[in-house]
Amino acid sequence: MLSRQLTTLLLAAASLFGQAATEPWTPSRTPDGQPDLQGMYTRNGVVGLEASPPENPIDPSSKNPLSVSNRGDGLGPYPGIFGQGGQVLRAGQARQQRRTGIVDPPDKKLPWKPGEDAKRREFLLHMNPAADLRHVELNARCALPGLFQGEDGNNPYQFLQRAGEVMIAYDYNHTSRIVHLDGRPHLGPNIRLFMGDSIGRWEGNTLVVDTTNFNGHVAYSREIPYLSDRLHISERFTIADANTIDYEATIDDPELFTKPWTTAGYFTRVPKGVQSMEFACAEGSQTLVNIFGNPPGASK
Amino acid sequence: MLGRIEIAALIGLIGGAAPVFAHHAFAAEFDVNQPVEVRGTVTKVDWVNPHAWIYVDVKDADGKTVNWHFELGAPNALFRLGWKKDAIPSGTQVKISGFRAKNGENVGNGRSIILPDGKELFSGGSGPGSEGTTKQ
Repeated sequence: MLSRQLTTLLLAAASLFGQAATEPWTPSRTPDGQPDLQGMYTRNGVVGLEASPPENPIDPSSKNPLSVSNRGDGLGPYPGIFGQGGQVLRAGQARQQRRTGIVDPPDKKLPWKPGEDAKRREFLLHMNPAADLRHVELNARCALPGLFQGEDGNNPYQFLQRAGEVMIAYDYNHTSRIVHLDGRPHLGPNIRLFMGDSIGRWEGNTLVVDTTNFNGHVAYSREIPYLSDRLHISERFTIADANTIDYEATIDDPELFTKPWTTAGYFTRVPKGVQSMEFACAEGSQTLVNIFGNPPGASK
Repeated sequence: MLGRIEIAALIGLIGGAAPVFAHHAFAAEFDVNQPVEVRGTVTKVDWVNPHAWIYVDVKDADGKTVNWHFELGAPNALFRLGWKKDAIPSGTQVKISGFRAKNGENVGNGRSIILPDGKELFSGGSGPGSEGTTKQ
């Protein structure tokens, strides 16, 4: 016997399947006239792999020949439960066919400065075993996730709007970002942030966001484990229908790349009843102890 | 709150195995060359972020009791799948297999937790390779 909650989830999934993406969608408006995109969503497909990424000694995916997922006995490192919470959130999203991953350049070969690509490949080699604290991935150190490390799919994002602002509340690491729509300039160059400083505007049903003032301690993916403090990100959130926001982000980091490049994905509304929960990474993280051991004098 | 059977049904219906994510990379923290399997008595389950932990008293080869710690999924992932904080009372007998932490302590990643009757815990209601379990 299915419970009422499960029936609700399945109906939500069915309604998502039934959405015709080609029909024009007119969103409702917030009291201050913004197109209304409020709600809770998961993000999908944004952090696509570049062409020929370096072998990553800490990547648990089966694409990596060094991965523990490729054990002969078929045992991967993590129990299935690690991903199944996300599958509940993604109910109804399996049949979406939208732009995902790196879309510019079309061949997905990122425009690395050769010297910087060599540096990052060398950096990756020192992440397992971690040579020192600097080579422990930022997420594992409970750093705020920046714009790309919010555990897409496993942790939802909640969009909230009030006059002159769009706030995106992250389930992951319980953080948030605020996009200011009041025409203010960016913060001064001495202020450096994990989540950056975001200003934006609406172009029709597209929220256009410009984010600067990063601190040089955010990653794009496990293959791109850091971006510089010269990072400048331009995003476009386009309301596609009642349950979908198309997403595009152009990454301009002149420290690492010869020109900007663009990735795409989409947000899909989660089933009704899903709530955000506190994910306080620092609460009980054992990562550093498990890698390096207890600090001298610590009780075990 | 959904029951485990319903969750398994839901996952089966929506289909589509998804990649398994974690906030940290497995290989940086745990040693795939040190698989461990212990049998013992649950002493505590900590529902803390970013991962829950299960603590088990295990008798070593000398008959001495040692406490092992195994990492589980994130509390919000477990909760969304219908698990409650009191799902595994202290005193429960379990067999846990996983991989030891690189620091060499009695710490591991809990790949599989099995009760004496063969039921697998924290697997979403189904065992490895069966419906509802993410194949890696």
